[in-house]
Amino acid sequence: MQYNIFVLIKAIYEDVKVDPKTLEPSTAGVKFKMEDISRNAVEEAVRIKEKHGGKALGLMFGNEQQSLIMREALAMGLDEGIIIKGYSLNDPVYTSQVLYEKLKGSQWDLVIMGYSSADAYTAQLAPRLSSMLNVPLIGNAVKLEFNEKKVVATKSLDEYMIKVESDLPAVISVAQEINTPRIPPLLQIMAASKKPLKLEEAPPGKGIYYKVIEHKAYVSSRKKIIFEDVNKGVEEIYKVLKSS
Amino acid sequence: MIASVLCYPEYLDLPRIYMMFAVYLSASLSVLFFFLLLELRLKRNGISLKEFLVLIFKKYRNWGSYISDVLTHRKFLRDRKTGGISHFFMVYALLLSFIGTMLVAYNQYYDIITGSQVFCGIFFESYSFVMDVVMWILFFSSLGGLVALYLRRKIVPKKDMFFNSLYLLGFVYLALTGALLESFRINYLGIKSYYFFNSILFGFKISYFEYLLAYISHFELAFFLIAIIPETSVFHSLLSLTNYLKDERPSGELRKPFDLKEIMEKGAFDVQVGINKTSDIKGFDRLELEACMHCYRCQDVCPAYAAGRPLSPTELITGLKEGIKREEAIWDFIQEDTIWSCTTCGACIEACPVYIRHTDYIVDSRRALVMDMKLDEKKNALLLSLSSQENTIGVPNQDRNSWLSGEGIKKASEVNDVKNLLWVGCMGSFDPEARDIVKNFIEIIKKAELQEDYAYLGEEETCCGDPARRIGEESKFQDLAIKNIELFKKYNIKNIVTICPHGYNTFKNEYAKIDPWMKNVNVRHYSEVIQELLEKEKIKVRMSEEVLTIHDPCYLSRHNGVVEPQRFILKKVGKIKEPQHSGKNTFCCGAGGSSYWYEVKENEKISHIRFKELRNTGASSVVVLCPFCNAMLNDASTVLSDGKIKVKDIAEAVRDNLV
Repeated sequence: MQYNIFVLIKAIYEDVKVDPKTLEPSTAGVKFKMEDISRNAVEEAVRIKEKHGGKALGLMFGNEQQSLIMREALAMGLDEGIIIKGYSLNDPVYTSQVLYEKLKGSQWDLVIMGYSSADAYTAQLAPRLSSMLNVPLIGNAVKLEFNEKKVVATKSLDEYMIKVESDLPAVISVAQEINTPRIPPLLQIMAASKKPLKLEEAPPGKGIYYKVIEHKAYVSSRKKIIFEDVNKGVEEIYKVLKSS
Repeated sequence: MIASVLCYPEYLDLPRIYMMFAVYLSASLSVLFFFLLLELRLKRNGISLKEFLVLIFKKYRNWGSYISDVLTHRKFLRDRKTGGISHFFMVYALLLSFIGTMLVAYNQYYDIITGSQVFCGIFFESYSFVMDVVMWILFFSSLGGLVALYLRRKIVPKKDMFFNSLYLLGFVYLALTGALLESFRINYLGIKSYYFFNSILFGFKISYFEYLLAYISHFELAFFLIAIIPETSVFHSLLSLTNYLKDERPSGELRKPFDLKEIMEKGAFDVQVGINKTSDIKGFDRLELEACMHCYRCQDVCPAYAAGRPLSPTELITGLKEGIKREEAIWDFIQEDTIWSCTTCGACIEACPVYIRHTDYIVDSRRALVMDMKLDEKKNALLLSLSSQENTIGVPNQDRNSWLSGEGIKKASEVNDVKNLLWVGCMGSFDPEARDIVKNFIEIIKKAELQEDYAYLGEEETCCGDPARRIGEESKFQDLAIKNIELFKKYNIKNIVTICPHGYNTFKNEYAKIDPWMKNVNVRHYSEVIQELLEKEKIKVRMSEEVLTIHDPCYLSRHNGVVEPQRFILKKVGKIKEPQHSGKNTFCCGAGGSSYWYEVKENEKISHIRFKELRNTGASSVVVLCPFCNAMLNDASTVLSDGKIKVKDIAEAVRDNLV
């Protein structure tokens, strides 16, 4: 049986520079990259498609300048990409509403995403979407197997693995351990510009259910004590270690 | 027939006109068949006879160095001496036989035209003597060749085995019949002065009928063997020439399968990259593989093979050579780890007597795997680091050279005119040990009061592209090269100095193929700069008691022939003890060809094999000239000598002895 899949992809900042004086992050000129576990989700979707057939579509709530990220996902093997414009800030409530609006009107068997994104770590999107779409949720999957209209997933819990079975359609979030994502070479990313990539407007709605009060890098100040005399140094270090 | 002066009796008592007709008819047929078979063989590989001849004759300028290689048998005699010596003597014997035959023909024409011969008296006797010796050389060297062939019987394909044996046995027959003919003539003419030597060689007499048989079979066999050359393995003699001529790249420069700029302009991204199936190997590349005679010289010198990695360059090439006869995926007969085992050190290319470039096929296979995205985690991590950070270390690039700010040289953006760009490199920028190399080099520059002449790029510097290209990500390599060249143009760079031989090689040999503007940029390795400073007495060093050995980097010494500066420099600071493999003939540290970033199953680390050899010199320090060699051998020293044998960079060796 073939499966139609939506993969949710997030674009995040590459390396945020920190202003040494204000300790505030500066995103000016910083590139975007595909969020780490989104990459695993894309890989898993492509593998399911390669094994069982069907269509795998990438869906991103982001901005036009993140098209390159979607193209990378297309180069990995997705058939089509859709970017819903208007993303401004991490806000899982709003993001899930936007994505829900898109997904509820589409045909699919699976929605796959990373269980949590490497910039905000809220891990809310999968449960929110599952509840809004009223389909089963499988969280943190490390292995997926398909049997007609059912999926058997192995989930990784702290101390043991659990195997669950669910009807399709379902929302599945995957863990990083699920696979090693393929990395497309630049030429494949360029070639993927021939695949369809649609830009859509976000449905009308409000965002920002919370307010960012402060955004600062943490300071780790080092004492920078250097012992020139080895014997004295060993003694001092011993004292510090003993007392702690 | 017995005249006062003896002359060469070619058709001794045979009907001259008939014999001449038979010989020249056979010769003409032989040449005709040669070209027919040549055209057939070329056609099978998608090449026309015209293309083949154009290649050979258009590049006549390069014949000289090729012929000198053949005449000296440089590559044959370096390793595998038994087979090499046999080959040497056989080639010379055939060459002299050919010249001898030509002389006979000349003699005949001269006789027909003028009625007298030139091949008379002492000239004839000495000629006869030389040809006798040649004949015996051919006899014994062909027997030697048969032994060498027997020893390689397991890998030599059946068809090659058949033809190689046919030719070698043919040579034996030609030598023996030649001796018989000579013996008959000498006896017939009753040359006493000559008889003694001849009787030792061949004392027995043959009848006139046997003489006739020997004569006819001798020249008919010779012409037959010439006619069928293009369809046999002996064709390697000509293929080695086309291999030599077809590509003038230095061994450190890889092929450029496409032009990224052109692809972007045309939007034609659908290019076939690399080798996935045997039919991806085309034209002269197929002939290149077909030249392989399974001599194992490449395997003998391969560090990956020595380490027990699943790579034998010989078997790789013979596998492909047989594979191209069928239409199949190369992965049906080559393991992926075979092509990942290679460090692209180039020892195989240097050793190959027929000029096969093994690394071209290895990197092309990698290119196919990269295009198909079939890399494992570690290799993927390198690709990801290159695409996201544009460096190889996987950490943010913006601070790569902030540690350099207090060292005394300025950034390119801070000066008006960049006389020399110091390319710090990924290792130099991020690896703590390699940072010391850069610092020591800057110390030396400061001592020479030349710090104003040098500048670095700082956060604008990225990867030079060497690892990207060698792991098979050609598009990223070209992308990086294009951006770097734009940067060089921005600062109007005319001179680049690198501490890393990999950047050195790629800037010097590969960038000009991306943008010809790079031809005007002079690229130097810092060892060349230090040598110049010493020569011009801008810096002075004192002699120490230290015994040093040199580990020559592959990409500096083998691929680019830089072997002299390091010796010039180190002779001034200590006593040098050369390891077994040194100079152009060096042995890899195990890091090249992007191998630094991933692992392949092996019995022993390549760096350990190398370190042991360096340790055996008895030197107390190993001097390196590459940040990668530095890292690899430092680790090896820690494991194998508890760090007692110091691995130090050449800049450190100089800085420590500055006066």
